[in-house]
Amino acid sequence: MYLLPDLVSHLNEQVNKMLNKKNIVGIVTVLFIVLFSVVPTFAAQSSTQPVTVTVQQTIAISASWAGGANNSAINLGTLSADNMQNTFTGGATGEQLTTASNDAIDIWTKVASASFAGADPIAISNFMYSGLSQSTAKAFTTNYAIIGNNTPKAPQGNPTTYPVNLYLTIPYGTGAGTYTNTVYFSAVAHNAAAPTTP
Amino acid sequence: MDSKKISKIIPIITVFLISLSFIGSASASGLLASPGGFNVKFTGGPTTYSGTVTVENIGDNTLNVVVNKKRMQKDNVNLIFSDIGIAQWITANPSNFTLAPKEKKAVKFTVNVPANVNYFDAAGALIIDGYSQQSLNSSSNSNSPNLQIQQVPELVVPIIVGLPGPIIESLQMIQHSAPTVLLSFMPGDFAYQLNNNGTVYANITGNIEVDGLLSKHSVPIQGGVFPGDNFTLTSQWTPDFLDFGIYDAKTTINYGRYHQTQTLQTDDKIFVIPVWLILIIILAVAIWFLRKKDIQSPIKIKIERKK
Repeated sequence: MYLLPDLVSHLNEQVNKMLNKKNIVGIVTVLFIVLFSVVPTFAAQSSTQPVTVTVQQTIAISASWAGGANNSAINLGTLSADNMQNTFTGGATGEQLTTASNDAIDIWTKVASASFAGADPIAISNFMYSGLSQSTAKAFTTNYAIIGNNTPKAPQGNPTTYPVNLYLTIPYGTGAGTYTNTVYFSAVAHNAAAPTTP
Repeated sequence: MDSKKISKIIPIITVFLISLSFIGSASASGLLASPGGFNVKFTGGPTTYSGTVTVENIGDNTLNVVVNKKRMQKDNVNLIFSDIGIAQWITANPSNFTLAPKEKKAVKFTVNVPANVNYFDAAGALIIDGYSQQSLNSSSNSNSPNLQIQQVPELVVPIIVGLPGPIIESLQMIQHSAPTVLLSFMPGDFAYQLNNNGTVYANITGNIEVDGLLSKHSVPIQGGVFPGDNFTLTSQWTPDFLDFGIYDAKTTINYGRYHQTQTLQTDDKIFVIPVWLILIIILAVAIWFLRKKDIQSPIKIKIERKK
């Protein structure tokens, strides 16, 4: 057991040993580490940081055909010119629209041209659609027509998919070959306001 | 089949099925825009507003994105775009770019709102179209028609210019003019220079009540003036053959955006000299002059009874 004078002299010896053993660098390093680690720890313990984020209105729409095959272009295949209406049921194997919007949207549709371009142009009145809020088959036109009125926002983390049925009639006498057109599916916020004071 | 072969085949099938599911769900063409619309507050005078809309390719096809600016008219059954009004106030940059899957691009736009706004032109939109880079297959080996349709996801981001604050209906009459003397069948012009110092379009109706001694007339007036604009409202009144004397012309201008409940009034006096009175005066003066000068008529007409 050490007496107090013995204890002091013992500590002095230990300190001298440490200094003599060139541990000074290590001690200083440890001191710095302790010093720098104490300051931020102290700060973190004594204050709070509020985190605020503003989520903007977002509109989004996707269109796919047959699960995304052929770069999502609609390929209705090779059909007979028999003047009979062909039905292409919407869904995973047909046409479907997906919205990831965080607000209600209106979905409009139109085609670029009044007829399918090809050897014997096919009038667009032969090409129809139904689905979403359009319950009965309606012919595409070159003017916008609403297909999804007030389509609800997508649930969080889960975009909503809607099937769209397509109908096409190839008139008698339509020549063989490839026929093309472009269809637009347009999304606009349902609450898009008119000017406040028109 | 032994267990070793089965254990080799199962991972291969698993990988194949996973790959298949990715192919099936990932190749949609899709676009996302944020925010989904803008409201520009307009307080009068030329105003410049800048904003940014972020466009993202949420599909798995690389898209050529085209940004157009249009005037928009929208209700429950119509969505119409045109190139007038706000379409000419908006500039967007970039307006044409390529987006790889999951890639984002910030599109900056500026709206230069002119001093005098026709509010029917003040609703516009950025129309953002995503065209797949892969063109349609134009060849067909069949003897029947083959139908292919390109799908274009399109986003409409409205930009609405509107007035903030309360609706103020206010017209100020800067000056007006009315005829003071009129002859029969001589049209008289009334002009009212108005300034709309309110915040909304003023629809104007009203009339000029021309009230005389023996007759009364009502002349309708109609017009409209946009906020900040000066407008000269004109009308005309022509006295009839029988109108004469002093007439009180009381003008009442009713105005308002939807209901013309505000009123401006003026009161003028018009002296109408009838043509017949002028003719009588001329005749009387002539007779008086002839008698005074004792001028004999150079022609004598003798009337005799027939024998």
